[in-house]
Amino acid sequence: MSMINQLPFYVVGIPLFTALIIGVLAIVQPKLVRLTGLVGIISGAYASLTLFLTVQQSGTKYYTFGNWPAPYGIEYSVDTLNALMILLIYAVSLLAYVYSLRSVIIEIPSNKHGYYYTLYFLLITGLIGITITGDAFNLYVLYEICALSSYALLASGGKRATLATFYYLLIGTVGACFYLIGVAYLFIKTGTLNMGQLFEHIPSIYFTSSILVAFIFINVGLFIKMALFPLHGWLPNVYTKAPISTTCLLAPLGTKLSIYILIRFYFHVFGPEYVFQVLNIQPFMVWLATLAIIVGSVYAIFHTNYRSTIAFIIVAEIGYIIGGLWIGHPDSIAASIYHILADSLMTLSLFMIAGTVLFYLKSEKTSAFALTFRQLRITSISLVVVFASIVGIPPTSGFFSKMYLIKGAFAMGHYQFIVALLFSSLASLFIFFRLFEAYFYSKPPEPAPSIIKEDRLFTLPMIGVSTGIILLGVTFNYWFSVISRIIPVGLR
Amino acid sequence: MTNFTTILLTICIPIIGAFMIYLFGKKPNQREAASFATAFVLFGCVLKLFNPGKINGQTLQLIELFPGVSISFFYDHLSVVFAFVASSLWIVTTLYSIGYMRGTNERNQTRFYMCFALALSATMGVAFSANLLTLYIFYELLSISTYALVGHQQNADAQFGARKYLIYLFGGSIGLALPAMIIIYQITGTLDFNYSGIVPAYFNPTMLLALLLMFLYGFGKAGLMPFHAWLPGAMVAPTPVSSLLHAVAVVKVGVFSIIRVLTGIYGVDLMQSLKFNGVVCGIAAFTVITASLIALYQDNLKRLLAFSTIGQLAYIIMGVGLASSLGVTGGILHIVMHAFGKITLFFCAGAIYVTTKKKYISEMDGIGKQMPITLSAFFIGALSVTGLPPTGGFISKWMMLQGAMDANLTIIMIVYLVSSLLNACYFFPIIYKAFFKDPATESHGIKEAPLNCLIPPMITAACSILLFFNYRIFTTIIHGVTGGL
Repeated sequence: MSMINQLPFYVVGIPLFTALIIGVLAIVQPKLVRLTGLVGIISGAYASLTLFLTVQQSGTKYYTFGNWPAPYGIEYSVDTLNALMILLIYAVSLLAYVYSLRSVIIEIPSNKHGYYYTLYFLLITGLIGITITGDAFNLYVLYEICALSSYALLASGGKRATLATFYYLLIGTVGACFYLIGVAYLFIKTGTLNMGQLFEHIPSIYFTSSILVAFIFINVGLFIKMALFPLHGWLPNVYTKAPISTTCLLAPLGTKLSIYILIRFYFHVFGPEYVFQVLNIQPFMVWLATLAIIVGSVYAIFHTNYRSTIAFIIVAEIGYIIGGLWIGHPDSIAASIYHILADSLMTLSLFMIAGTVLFYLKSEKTSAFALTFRQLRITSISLVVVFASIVGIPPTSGFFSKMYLIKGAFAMGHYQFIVALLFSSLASLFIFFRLFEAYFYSKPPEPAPSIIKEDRLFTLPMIGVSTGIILLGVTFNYWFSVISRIIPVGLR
Repeated sequence: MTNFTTILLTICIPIIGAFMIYLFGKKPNQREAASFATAFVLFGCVLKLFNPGKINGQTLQLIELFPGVSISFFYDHLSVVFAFVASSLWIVTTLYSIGYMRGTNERNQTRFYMCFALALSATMGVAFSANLLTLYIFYELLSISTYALVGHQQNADAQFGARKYLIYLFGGSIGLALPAMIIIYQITGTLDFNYSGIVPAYFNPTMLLALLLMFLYGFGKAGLMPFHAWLPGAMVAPTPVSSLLHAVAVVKVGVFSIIRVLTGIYGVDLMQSLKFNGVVCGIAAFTVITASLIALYQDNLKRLLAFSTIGQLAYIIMGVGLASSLGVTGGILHIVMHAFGKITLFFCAGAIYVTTKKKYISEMDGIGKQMPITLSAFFIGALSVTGLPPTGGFISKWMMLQGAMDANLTIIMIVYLVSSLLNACYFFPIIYKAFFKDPATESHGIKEAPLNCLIPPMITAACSILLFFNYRIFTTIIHGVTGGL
C-alpha cells in the first residue's frame, strides 16, 4: 500500500535520479550509461502504468512533499488527466529511448553520450513534473527545466541546429515569460499559486481586467510554446535541423505538454465557466484553429523535404486539438484530448521514419522514398500505418479523433472547421501518395537494390508505435470513457 | 453453416485467395489455379445465400464502434443480387485475365491477381454491409485496392490516370460522403439501413437536400456528372480491370451505395414526400444524355465504353430515383443486365487489342471479317446495353420505362428513349464498319484471339440472351426489395 502511495513521487523521482546516476557514470563508467537509462525508463513506465490504473480505480491521488501541507509545501495531485499524460509521456519516452540507443551512436560523438543522456532524462523529469504539479509557479520552474535541457539537446545536431535552436531559445523564453507574467497577475489578485486555491478564488474576480490580462498572457505564452498558428514560426526550423534522437522525444511531447497546461488552466484554474461563457472568444478561437489547419496543410504540401513536411503536419494537428477544445462540445473536447494521445504516437512514428530513411539512404527528399519502399520494409509499413492515421482511415486512431471532432463541430455549428479537417485529410493523402508515386512510377535502379535489414533497435520501437496507433484506435471506447471523466461537469 | 458464417466467408475467401496467389507468385500455373479456386469457392458461397426464402433481415454485429453504430453485416435481396453478379463474373474474368495478361506479356502479374482478389473482397464487404459506416469502410478499401490496378502499367499515362482516380474517388468520399454520413449520425444517432428510412421527416429539408447531394456526388464511383472524369482516365488499366471492375464491381459499388442511401437512409416515402426523387432523376437524366452525347465522339473504343458506362449507371440511379416499384425493380435488374452486356463489350475490346493491338475505332474497318466470333459477341453486348430484344437489357429498360410512367414523369420516359437511340447511334456504326467495310490493309483470313480471351465474351454474350428469357430468377429476388418498400 505504501508503495502505491509513493507512486506520484516515483514517476518524477525515477527519471531525476536516473539523470543524476548517468551524470556520474558518464565520468566513472561510461559503458553502463545506456543500460542504466533503460532500467530507469522501464521502471518509470511501470510506475506510471500502475499509477494510471490506481487513479482509474480509486480516484485522485494526493502527495505532499515531506508531509508539508499546501499551500506551504508543494502538493502533487494526480487525477485522470495527468495520470493519462504521464502514461503517455512514459510510453513515448520508452519507445524514443530504445530508438535513440542506436541513433545516438550515429548522431552524437561517443564521448558525449553520458552528458546527452543526462539531459535526456532531465527533460523527461521536467515533462513529468509539469504534468504532476499542482502549483502554477512550480510549473514555470519545471517548464524552464524542460526548455533548458531541450535547447541543449536540440542544439547538439551541428551548426545549423545550433542557430535554429538559438532562435527557438529567444522565442521560447518570451513564451515562458508571458506565462510567468500571467501567473504573477493571478498571484497579485488572489495571493496564491496553488491551482486548486486559484480555482476557488477566481470566480469572485471574473469581471476584473487583471484576470483578463492574466488569461491573455498565459494563453499567448502557451500558444508560442505549442506553435499554434500564427506563432508557429520556430517549429519547422528547429525540428528539421535537430538530431533525430532528440526530435523523437521532443516533437511528440513538447507541444503536447503546452496543450496539457492549457487544458489544466481552462478546466482547473480559470474554470470552464469563465473560458466558455464569460469570455466571448469561442468563434474567434475556432477560426484561428481552422486557419492553423489550413495553413499547416498547405505548407506541408508545398514543402518536399520530408522533415519540413511533417513539421507542418504537426502545425495542422495542433489546430485540430485547439479547435476541438474551443468548440466546447463534450464530443469535440474528448476528441481533442484523445488526439493528444494519437498525435503523439503519430509524430513519434513520423520522426522515427525520418531517422531510418536519413540514416540508411542519406537523403530525405521525396525521391529517397522510391528506395525506401524498395529497401526498408519495416519503415515503409510504419509509413503506411501512420499516414492511414493522419488521413483518418479506420481502424487507426486518427479516424476516431476526426470523427468525434466533426461530430462536435457540427453540433455547435462550426462548419468551417469541418471543411478544414477534411481538407487536411485530403492534403495528407496527397502527401502520402506523392511519396508512394515516387516509388511506384519510378524505374527500379540497376542493379536492383537489395533489401536493407534495419537495425533491431530501430524496428522494435517502430513496430511498437505502429501497433500503438492501431491499438489506440481499436480500444478507443476505453479511452473515451477514461477521458469523459476529465471533462468538467459544466461542459458535459 | 449459418448464413452469417457464409457472409464472413465471402469477405475472407478472396483475402485468403490473395495470400495463396502471393505464395504461388513464382509459379504462374499454380497461381492462376489459386485464382480460379478462390473465384469458384466464392461463387459457391454466394450461391448458398441466393435463396429468397432464407432472407430474414437479421444483422450480425461484430464490433461496436460508436454508440449505435457497429461494424455489422446483413444480407437482403439487393445485396444478394449484387454479390451474385460480381462473384459470377469474377470466374469468367479470371479466365479472361489469364489469356489477356499472358497474351500481352504484362509484368507484375502476381500483384495484379492479388489486388484483384482484394478488390472482390471489398466488393463483397460493401454488398453485405448492414450500415453506412461499414459500407463506407469497404468502399474506401475498394478504392485503395484498385489504385494499384489502375496504375498497373507504371508509366506516365498510368500515373496520370491513377492520380485522377484517387483525387476524384477520395476527394468525393472523404470530402463529401464522410461528412454527410457523420452529420446523419449526429442527427439520428444511427446509421443502420432501414427500408422505412432513418432520417426524420421533420428535419430541415434544405439540409436534407444538401446531404443528399453530398451523398450522390460523394460516392463518386457511380460516376454522376460532373464527377465522372476518373472513369475514362481509369481505362489505362489492363482490360480485365476495366471489364470487371470498371464496368461491374467498382462502378456498381457506387450505384449500390447510392441505392442504399436512397432506400435505406432516406426511405422511399420521404424521397417522394419531399420531391427529392425529381432531383435525383434530374441529375441522373443530365448525366445519361451528356454521357451518351460525349460517347458519340470517341474514337478510342475503351473510352467510348467508359462513357457508355457512365450513362448506363445514371440509368440505374434514375430507375431507383423514380421511387416507384417498377422503377426500382428495373433499376436493380439493370445492374445485372448491364453487367453482363458491358463486360462482353470490354472483353471484346480487349480481345481485339490482344490480337491486333488496335485501340481506335477508326482502325477497325473490316475487323469483323477477321474476328467474326468476337464481333458477334460484341453485337450481342451492344444490343443488351442499348436495350433491344432478344437480350436482357430490353427487360430492364422496359421496366424502368413503365416505372417512369407509373411515377407520371413523362420527361424521364423521353430521356430513356432518346438515350437508347443515342446508344444505338454510337454502337451500331462500329458494328457496321467492322462487318461491311473493307479493311485498310490486306486481310489475313480468320484470326481470332487466344481461346482464353475468346470463350469469356461468348459465355457472357450467351448469358445476356439467356437473361432475356430467364429474367425471373432475378425479379423474384428483387421483388423482396420492392415488396419491402
